[in-house]
Amino acid sequence: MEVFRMENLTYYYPQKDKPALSQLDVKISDGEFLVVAGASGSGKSTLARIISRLAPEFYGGKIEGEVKGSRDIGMVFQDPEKQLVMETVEREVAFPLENRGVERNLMRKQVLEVLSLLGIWHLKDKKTYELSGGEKQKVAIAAALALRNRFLVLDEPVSQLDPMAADEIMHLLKKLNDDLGFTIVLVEQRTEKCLSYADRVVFLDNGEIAFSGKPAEYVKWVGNHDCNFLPPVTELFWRLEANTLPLTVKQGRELINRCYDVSKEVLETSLDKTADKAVALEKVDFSFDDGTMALDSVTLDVGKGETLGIIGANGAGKSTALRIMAGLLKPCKGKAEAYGAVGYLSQEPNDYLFNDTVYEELLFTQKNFQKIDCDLIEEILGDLDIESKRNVNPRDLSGGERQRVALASVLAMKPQILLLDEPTRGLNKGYKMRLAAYLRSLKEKGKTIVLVTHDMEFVAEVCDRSVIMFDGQIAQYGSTREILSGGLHFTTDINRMFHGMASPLKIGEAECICTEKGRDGP
Amino acid sequence: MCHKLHPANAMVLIAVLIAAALLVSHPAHSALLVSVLSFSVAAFGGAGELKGLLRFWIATGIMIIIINPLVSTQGDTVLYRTVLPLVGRIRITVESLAFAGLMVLRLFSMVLVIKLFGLSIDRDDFFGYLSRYMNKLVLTMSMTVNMIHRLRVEIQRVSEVMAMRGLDLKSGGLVKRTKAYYPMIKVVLISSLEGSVNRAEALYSRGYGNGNRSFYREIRMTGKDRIHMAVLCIYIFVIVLGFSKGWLGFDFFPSISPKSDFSAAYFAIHAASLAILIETTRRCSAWKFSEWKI
Repeated sequence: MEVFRMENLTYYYPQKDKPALSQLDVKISDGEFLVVAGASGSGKSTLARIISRLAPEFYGGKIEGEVKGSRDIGMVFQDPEKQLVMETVEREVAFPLENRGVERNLMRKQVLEVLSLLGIWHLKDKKTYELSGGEKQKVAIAAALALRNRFLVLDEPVSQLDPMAADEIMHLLKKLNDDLGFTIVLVEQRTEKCLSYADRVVFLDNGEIAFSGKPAEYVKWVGNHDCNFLPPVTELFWRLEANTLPLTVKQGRELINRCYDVSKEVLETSLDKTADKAVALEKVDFSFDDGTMALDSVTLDVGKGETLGIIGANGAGKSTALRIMAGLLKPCKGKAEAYGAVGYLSQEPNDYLFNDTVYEELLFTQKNFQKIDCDLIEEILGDLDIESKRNVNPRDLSGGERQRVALASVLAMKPQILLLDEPTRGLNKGYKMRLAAYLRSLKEKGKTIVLVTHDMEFVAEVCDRSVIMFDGQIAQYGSTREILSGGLHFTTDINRMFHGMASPLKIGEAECICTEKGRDGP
Repeated sequence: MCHKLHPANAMVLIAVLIAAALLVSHPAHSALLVSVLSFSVAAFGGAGELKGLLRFWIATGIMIIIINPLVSTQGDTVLYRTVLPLVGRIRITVESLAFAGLMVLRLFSMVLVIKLFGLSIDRDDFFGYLSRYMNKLVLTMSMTVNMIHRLRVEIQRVSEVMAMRGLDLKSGGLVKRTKAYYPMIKVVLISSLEGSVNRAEALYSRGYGNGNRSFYREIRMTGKDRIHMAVLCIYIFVIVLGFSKGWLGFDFFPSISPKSDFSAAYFAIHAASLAILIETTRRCSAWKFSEWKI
């Protein structure tokens, strides 16, 4: 049964001449799990807003074509911080029911039911600002479900969460779809976590539907179109020219066992630790004003020209360690020193952007340091592929582009030590790989890089050494291969797939150790 | 369950205390307001935040005491006079210094009243109660409150980012420092406005403002709230009495003089009624923590 349909839909945001969506035909069936994929700025979020009627009802603008179907749709947004309205969890979930005028006793029943369904009953009396990112996103889903909407639209709900929280949210969506028959429309740029759950994938390109079909057909299509949209596991088999392209680690492992010989060893890259230190933390303790202990006796050396990855769950103290290295926080105990000019990229690229053009943004940093070097600005703009945006207001750019401008404004000061907090947030795989290549080129020029990230693929691509942090302490410190190999959670999908066979971390490494023993399928 | 102050009581309380903070011009009574409010904020569990407020107050207070006598040249008792290039004639008087002192007290009273308000209400109940009568106002208020909260967090973050980009926010004269703050303020304002739009979108998507609302929690005026309202009325009477007799007024210009003779008895009554009001508010607001039930 069809629950939603749009026919020949074209939508313009107010004061825009170019349509955000153009001549779209989309049908959604009851109980369907639809994934909407596409590059940044392709119109994915606009499609979500059209389905949930936020556009044009909230945003205004001009709409052509027809939109039919259910209006009882729950919407969950990208940023968990910005969508919670009330102070306590219970009241947050009750809020949409209050707005619909639901009678008090019925409201109470529905709130308690949805809290139990999502397994967040224990959070009932908590303040929403005390919750973790994953918990906040669950509360937002609960609020969307409280009205008994059986149709959910989610706009990149896991893009700002750590991998554990992201997995929990994805499992929850799967459960709602499988067990309770909810219709789910999930907008995602990185599809590795959701492709296996999808009944259908719609790929948007420049506001138009470039592909619509089953996930298995999608990976074949997108492999030929732009392999940057393939999940890592699928990309490996696409490169190996397999007949079947797996969507999950499990499917990939089965295919390897059936069709490939795997040579056991992947050579360890030799790591010569330089004697010169670039950053040193010595028995550093740090507590926030409210008494929360963020770092507990952390000792860490980063050698000159080294790239170090700091990984761990949310709240483990990663960003605090980075801010201490940058000199932004002073340790309560112990010593922290950086030997060289430090450039720092925070998690929020918008914090950097206020000038009228991208070029001026870079110039601003250089003016502050009284080191104006126009050639360097040109070089950075070219390296980060934002040359064409040089005269554009940075606030008019997409999320991924803003991230690159923020990084460019840091690089403009020519730092010796580069501290990056979640540099891949909002970037699609293509840009992520370009950033990785760029960071490697900086390393070759002798720069020291320390990055905090949840992105294990990126750590494997870029970092020589890595640190796992838990609860303000260093749990493990060593070469990236040592840290990620055999990890249950903090490792790459590729490594997980080869668990017990070999220890490749990257697609390229895995490709080298696989030899076909027989074609799969007819 | 923790009972918080009834939203109607909270609104009357904040209105009365703000009016008192702004209109009382007698330094002794202003100082009384500041000290009782500081004590009550600490008693409400805001002792840690009081330290931060004190730092803000001292810094702003010094600025006001420096700037006000330069701008206001009224008053009979001249302490210093000179002519400066560009600025012109400067005339620092005892009266303008004393008036600056009163403004510092008023500023801190206002900050403390707002802090006290935040500590004594259940924001969800307050939001729900107001939305019965003023839907659009509540929407605006919600976005503003959110913006203020975000501003605080963002100022910290953006100042770190700007410092790392070489912006010197600490050295140089007033003009240089004001200029240095410009990029930071611009970033913070743009981001906060964007954040508020996101919040409005979230409110809209949850059907806010669609029609008649129902309320998850019944907000009834309990016996405790009625007692609180009675105490509040007594305090309003004390304040009105003080103004009508001139005990709360004070003239600064052309020379310092109280509107009427200082009444120690009235001062004691004002102090007692204010203390009782604050204590009643505390007990109403944090019922489960109080040893004595009203």
